[in-house]
Formats: sequence, structure tokens, C-alpha cells
Amino acid sequence: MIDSEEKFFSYLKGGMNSEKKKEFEEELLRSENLNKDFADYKKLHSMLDDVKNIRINKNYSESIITEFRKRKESRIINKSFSKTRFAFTSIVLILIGYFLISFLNQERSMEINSLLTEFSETELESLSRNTAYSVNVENNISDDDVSKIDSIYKENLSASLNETIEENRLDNIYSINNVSDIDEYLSENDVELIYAQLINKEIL
Amino acid sequence: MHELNNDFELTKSFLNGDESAFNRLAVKYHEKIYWHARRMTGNHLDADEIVQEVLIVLYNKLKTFEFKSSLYTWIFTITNTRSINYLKKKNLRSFFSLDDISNSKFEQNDMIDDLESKQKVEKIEKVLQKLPVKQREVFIMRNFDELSYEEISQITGKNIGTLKANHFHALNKIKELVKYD
Repeated sequence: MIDSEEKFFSYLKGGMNSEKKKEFEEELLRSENLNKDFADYKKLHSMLDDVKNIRINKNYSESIITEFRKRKESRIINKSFSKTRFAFTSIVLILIGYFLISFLNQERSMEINSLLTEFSETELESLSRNTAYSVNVENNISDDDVSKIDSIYKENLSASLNETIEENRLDNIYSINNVSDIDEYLSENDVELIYAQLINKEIL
Repeated sequence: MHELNNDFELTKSFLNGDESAFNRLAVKYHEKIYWHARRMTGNHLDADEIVQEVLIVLYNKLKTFEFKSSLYTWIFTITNTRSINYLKKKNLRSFFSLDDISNSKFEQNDMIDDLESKQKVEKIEKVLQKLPVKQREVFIMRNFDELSYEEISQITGKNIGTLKANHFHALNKIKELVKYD
């Protein structure tokens, strides 16, 4: 059926050579159904051809180009206007951002001022001295001092462990040659205890 | 062949800055664009809008056209795609009741001079609108724009077998609709 339609189309549009045309005409004579289908197709085609040849009126035809040029111009104007609008919006946003940040900073400095008024002069002096002292200690402490502090922590820690872990288990721990084997001699509770001690000593 | 050269020369002149060359291209193709869009959408106002859109696209994208296919096929591809997109948008808008569809049907500015022709066009448009878009596009391109299946395949990106099947269904439906109209 699709093939017949193609043949009809080709026949009506003059797309067949004389041999094919003759062949198709003979086919039409032989088959009544094909003949009927072709008659329907021809009728529809002449109707479509009728419509196909209708032209749009001249004024409208000419106005298409004018309208196109007008729209193109207005698009260019819109484009440049939207660029200006974008630039303007950006400037406004930057200004708003600037004023917002300055306003927030102003509020923060007011908070600091109100905090300062809450403390007396001597309190403020001692606070600044403490801060200066801790900064000074951090900067000036030597390696020897650090190892001294570590050994004090160590002594305290081992004393606490001695108090809390049973003696025979401690002997086992002290008898270990390889530190990496320590896991085998410690129970989960012992590990937790050691960590608790370390935390108490504020080492961790 | 002469037409191809002419399109090529007009395009070249336009790309070299000759605006009148674009006008000549627009004059040459605007009626084909209009009728394809009108048959796809079924009314003058939508077709008019599509013509303007296609001309704008043509104006902006002509520099990217490499003449690997004919300009005619390329323009049809743009027109067909725009028409389908327009129909989709319109359906969406009517679904959300943003458009009053009755307003856009056969408005005052119908651009056909005599009444008899107007009636013929209206009759066919009414029938065409009853076809699904897929069948409508191939029917229009085959019967009104007289394009070959190869050209239609190039424009729509569908294979020839599918196009033939769609056309066959469209043709049978139209025969029935015309008979009972």
C-alpha cells in the first residue's frame, strides 16, 4: 500500500520514465482496487494542489521584511539596554554589600566597646598581661624546658597508672621488650583507663 | 544548480556586510516558511510569529552555515523545529490556561485575498490539525513542500521507513476526513 502511494505520487508529479509510466497504467487497467485507490488519491491531490497554489497577499508579504527589520532593531536596543541594566544592578549590589559590611563592622566594634565598659581598668590590665605572658612563653620556651615538662607529665602519669592497675599486671607490662607487643598484655579496660588518665593529664 | 549558486552568492554577500542580500533571501523564502508554519500551526498569527523567529535565527546563524546541504533544506529544518517547539509551548500554555486558544484562530488579519481560497485553506487546515504532529509534518513536507523522503529524513532526523509509515497513516486519515467533511 505504501508502495502504491509512492507510485501514485511519482506518476502525478511526472517522476516516472515512459517505460515505468506504461507499466503503471497497465497495472491500473488490471486491478480494480488499485484503480479506485488511484482515483481517490488523484482527487485528494488536486485538492491539495489547489490550496498549494494560493498566494499570501502582497502587502503582508512586503510587511514581513519591514517587521523583521523592526524586531531586529528592537532586539539590539533591548540587548544594549539589558547590558546597561546588568551593569547598573551590579553597581547597586556592590554598594549594598559595601554598606552592609560596614554596618556589621560598626555593630561589632560597638559590642567590643560595650565589653570594655563591663571590665574595670585593673581587670583589663591583668587580662592583657596574661595574654602577653602566654604569647611570651610560647615564643621563648627552649627544647630543654619542653622535655622537662614532658618528664613531669610522665612521672605523674606512671604514678597514677601504678595506683589504678594491679601490680602483677604492671609487672607484665614492664617486662615487655617490644613496645608494639603491648596490645597482647592489656585488656580493653586497661586501654580505656590509660586513655582516661591521659585525658585527665590534659596531654591529649 | 543556478539556485544553489544564487543562495551561495547571496549568503556570501550578506556575510560580507551586504544587508540587502539578506532581504533578497528573506523575500525568496518567506512564503515557503509562512505556509509550512501555517499548515503546522493551523493559523495565521502563529505562522507570522514563526516566520519572524526563523528570519531572526537565519540572520544570526547564517555565518555558521557551511553549505554541506542546500540552504532550502536548512531553512526547512529551522522552520520545522520552530513550528514544533511553538506547538509544544502553545499546548503547555493552554494546559495551564495561559492562552485563550479561541483568540488566535483565524484572526482578523488573515492574509489570503479571496474568500474561496480562504475557505479552501481553512478546510485543509482543519483536517491537518486533526493529525498527530509526527504525521502532520511529513504529510506537509511531502505533499505541499514536495520534498523527497531523503530530504524529509535530513530535516527531521527520522529514518525513511518511519517517515513512509507516518505518511501512509496520515494519507489514509486525511482521505477519510475529507470524505466526511
